[in-house]
Amino acid sequence: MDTVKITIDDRELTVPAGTTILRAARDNGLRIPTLCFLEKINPRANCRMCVVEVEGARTFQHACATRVKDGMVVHTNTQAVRDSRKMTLELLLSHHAVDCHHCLRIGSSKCADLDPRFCEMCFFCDCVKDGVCELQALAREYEVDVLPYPQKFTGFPIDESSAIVRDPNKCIKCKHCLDICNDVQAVHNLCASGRGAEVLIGPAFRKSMAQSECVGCGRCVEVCPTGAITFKGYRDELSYYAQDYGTRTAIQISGDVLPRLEKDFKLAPGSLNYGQLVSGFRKIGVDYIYDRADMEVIARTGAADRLDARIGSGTPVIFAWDFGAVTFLKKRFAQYSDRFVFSDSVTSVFCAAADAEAKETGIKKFEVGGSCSGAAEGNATGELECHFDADMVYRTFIRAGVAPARQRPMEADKIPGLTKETRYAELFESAVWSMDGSCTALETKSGEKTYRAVIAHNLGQADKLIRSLDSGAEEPDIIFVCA
Amino acid sequence: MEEVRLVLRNAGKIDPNSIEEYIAAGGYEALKKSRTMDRGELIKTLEETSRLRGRGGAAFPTGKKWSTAYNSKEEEKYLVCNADEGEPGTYKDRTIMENDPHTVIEGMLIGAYATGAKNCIIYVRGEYEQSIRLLRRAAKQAKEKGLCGDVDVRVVSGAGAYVCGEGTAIVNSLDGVRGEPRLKPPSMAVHGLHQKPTIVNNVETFAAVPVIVEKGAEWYGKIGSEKYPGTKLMCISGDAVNKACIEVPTDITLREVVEKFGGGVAGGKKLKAVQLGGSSCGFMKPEQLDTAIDFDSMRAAGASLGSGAVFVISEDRDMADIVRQIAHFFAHESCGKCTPCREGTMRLAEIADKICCGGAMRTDLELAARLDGYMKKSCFCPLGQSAATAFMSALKLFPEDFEMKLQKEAQ
Amino acid sequence: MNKKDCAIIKKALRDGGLLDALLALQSEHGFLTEEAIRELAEYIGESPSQLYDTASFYGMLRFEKPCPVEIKVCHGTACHSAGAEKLIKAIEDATGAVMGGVSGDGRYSLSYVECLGQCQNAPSMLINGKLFCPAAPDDIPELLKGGDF
Repeated sequence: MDTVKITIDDRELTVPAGTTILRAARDNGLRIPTLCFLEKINPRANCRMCVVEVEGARTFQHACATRVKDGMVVHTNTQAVRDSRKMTLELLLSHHAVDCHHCLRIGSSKCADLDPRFCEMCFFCDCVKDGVCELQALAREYEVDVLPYPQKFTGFPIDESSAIVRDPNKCIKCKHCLDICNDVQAVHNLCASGRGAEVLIGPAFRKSMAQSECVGCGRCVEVCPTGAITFKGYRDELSYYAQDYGTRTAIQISGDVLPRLEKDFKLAPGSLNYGQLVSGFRKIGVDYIYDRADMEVIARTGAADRLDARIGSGTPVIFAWDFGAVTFLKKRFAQYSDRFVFSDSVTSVFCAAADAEAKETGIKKFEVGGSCSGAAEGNATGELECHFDADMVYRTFIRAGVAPARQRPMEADKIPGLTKETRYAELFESAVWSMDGSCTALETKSGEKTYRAVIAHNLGQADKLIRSLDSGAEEPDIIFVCA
Repeated sequence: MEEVRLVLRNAGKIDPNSIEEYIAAGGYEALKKSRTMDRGELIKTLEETSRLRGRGGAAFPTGKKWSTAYNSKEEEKYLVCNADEGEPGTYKDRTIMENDPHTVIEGMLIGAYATGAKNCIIYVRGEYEQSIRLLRRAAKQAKEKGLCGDVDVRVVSGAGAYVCGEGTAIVNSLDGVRGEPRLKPPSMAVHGLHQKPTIVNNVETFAAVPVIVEKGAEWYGKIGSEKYPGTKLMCISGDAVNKACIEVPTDITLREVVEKFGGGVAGGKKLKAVQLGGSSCGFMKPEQLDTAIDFDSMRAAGASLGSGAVFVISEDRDMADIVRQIAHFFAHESCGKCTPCREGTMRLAEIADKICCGGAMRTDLELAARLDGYMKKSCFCPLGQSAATAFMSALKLFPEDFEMKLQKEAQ
Repeated sequence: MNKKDCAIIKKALRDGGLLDALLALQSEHGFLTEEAIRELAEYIGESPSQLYDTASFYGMLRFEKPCPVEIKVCHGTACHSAGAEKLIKAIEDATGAVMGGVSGDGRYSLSYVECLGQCQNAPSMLINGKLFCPAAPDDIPELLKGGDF
């Protein structure tokens, strides 16, 4: 492998030739702030937060997309660069609906003044991303205390027509959502419309999300750095219902929120465990807490039954249980509907189990983590109140005074008579969503029979795979579609 | 000094709809001649002897640009003529295309031969309907006469985006996407249209090639300034007596352009300033006009030749008003890709409005200056980098036009 | 796909590029309808959202039904110096539309267009795409009545 010698902030480094300044910095423990950079997606160099001084260059260079040259000398943190970054943040915040717990209200950018410990719980700061917003974090870091420009809003309305809420007034035009929707999920719903300061990122033809091609996979919410795209139902309903005498609450928790939650609470990776999540929600007052893994066991049984009934009929079975994947397949590949095998999603299994166990109506159901199509499903069926991602768990814990690191672990409620489903185990174990890579081909067993399966780890892979069917090439027995 | 009409040699003398008249005037002889020359030699001569530099504004040596494509082993190469003339005050390319479309096509065909490109595309701004019509007809005529050989010449319309005049944005527009500029490197000459080697040159640059080949690079290289030889089309507009597109040797001074060819300021008024190069360039005061118009002399004087637009401003004009117009232009034309330009041009227009309606304070002028410094260093492309240049230039040279509008400071 | 649209697209792409096709469809329908975009997208093998993304970037393309008379005054520095403001005032008085808006009866719209490159004949304007330059404020009432656009 070819290497080159470069200098970043007076440190001499030897890095692979052709690497970007940002990659070289990160690999060597040097931090350059970014906003529009998304790992695994080609850099756009839009936001200008990652600008650095490169000796010999007339302008600042974007670290995310500038490839190193032998002998390059880079300064990532000069006053001039910091001034530029601060001006970028001032411009972004001036064209933003600033309703977070930010210095502009109080007039201080000192983190100590804004620490949740001093929070008066007035909820004046209502932004769902308060505390977990990347723009807010950078604004605090660069001490954006006063905005030099009159605050402006875009004039575009907030779109609450579907489970995925879009607020154009918080969009920083990083295009993460657009890239995920087009390049990864191949749904091709989100796009840019117009140009310049009036550009709008949203569904084509400026339709509302409900009228658009959106399948509800929710991956755009995962990658939005601000509160521009969020799941519906965030408004602290869990805490409210948990404390309401007349309401019972049930929640299913997936441990996959732990890494991000640790980051939000500024804890070392691996320092939180699942039991602490459970006890955190018990502290808030949630009545029934289930482990999503248990719900998945039940869901797998239902799925295996359906697969057994249809598999091996000659044509590949196209299987999905995530709401987003099901919607996608119905919309995009209706011509293959005779091959579809859908079964109850883990979310709907949980809802049914919660209803059955509680034996009464009026139970409010929430879920934490797991497939992000849960939000769209919950909105569509009306069964689920809200799907929480890790950031929303952070928000709920903060406002309820839960410090998960100090919680003593507890166990989730046990489901009696649960036996592990062995059929298609290999398939379910590997069927996880991934932003990159390619389909996984494997063998999976149901009883005595072995089947060839291919897992599409995102909708883009599924799209490509299904389009290649009926082309004469060898086809698997099952295609598993992850949204 | 007189006009030297090389690019405009046929203007007004032949019917632009007629290839026969173009040929009768000596047209396509240069193409025939070039096809007998060794390609490498042809490019070398262009680069070292004629020393032709791009007429779009960046003044990059044309031969050097062509040699990158020539040296590429790629089969598929493209020549793109940038006819997206959008710089306010500029109408030279329209003048060329409406009067003598064939000179552009001949220049491109010579370029195609030299570089090995089989595809010539002329990207004309959508508003220039007549130019599009004339060029399409001319391309068809050239093809029918067998002059194109195996080279495809196509005329493509733009649709109202000034930023598509930028060298990488035009390629994106041709690739069927938003006309936003591209990350560089790689340069367009290496990975351009459809990721193939693409040479982007201005209309005036291509239009000059036939006469260089016909009369000889050495002859051309002796005209005008040493480092930026030949002739330049200058478009006079504003408060000048004669608003016309002229073609003059590059060692002429701006004063001669304004006074001799422009006839000075109309109505017997005094000259206040000249904006040379279009809205992305600064202003020059009357005492600075004795600079030669060539790219390097202007740059040394702290100004820009730019597109060759010469906007004459009389003593009656309010610089703040002119600057406001320019600020709104950039805000409207910003592609929106990068934060500094997208938001910065909008805020500059806001400040300009505030100044003109008497609501601004000194701090607003300081803010505009901060925005300029920031945009120069952090914008993704030259549009944003130069968006505040005219504003700053006006502030520096004519502070009184702005001062008198400021709100009185608190006592 | 609509047969006529298909022929329009085919011809435009044969002679020019994508923007030619979009302009031709706009000319046919008065504006770029969702259907027209979907048809063109299918023809070129792109998703409708991607084509809409591209099309919405360009100032000459419109996505709503235009007024019967679209008046656009050049926003360039030369035209401004040559009295574009007076021209605009004359148009506003004659039509009842204000700059950036539509007349009360919905017949006229008035907006800016960026420098048209007609600087030596400033001020210039477009009425339904037809160029008028130099345009004088006094000519406006007659011009609009004449309807030759």
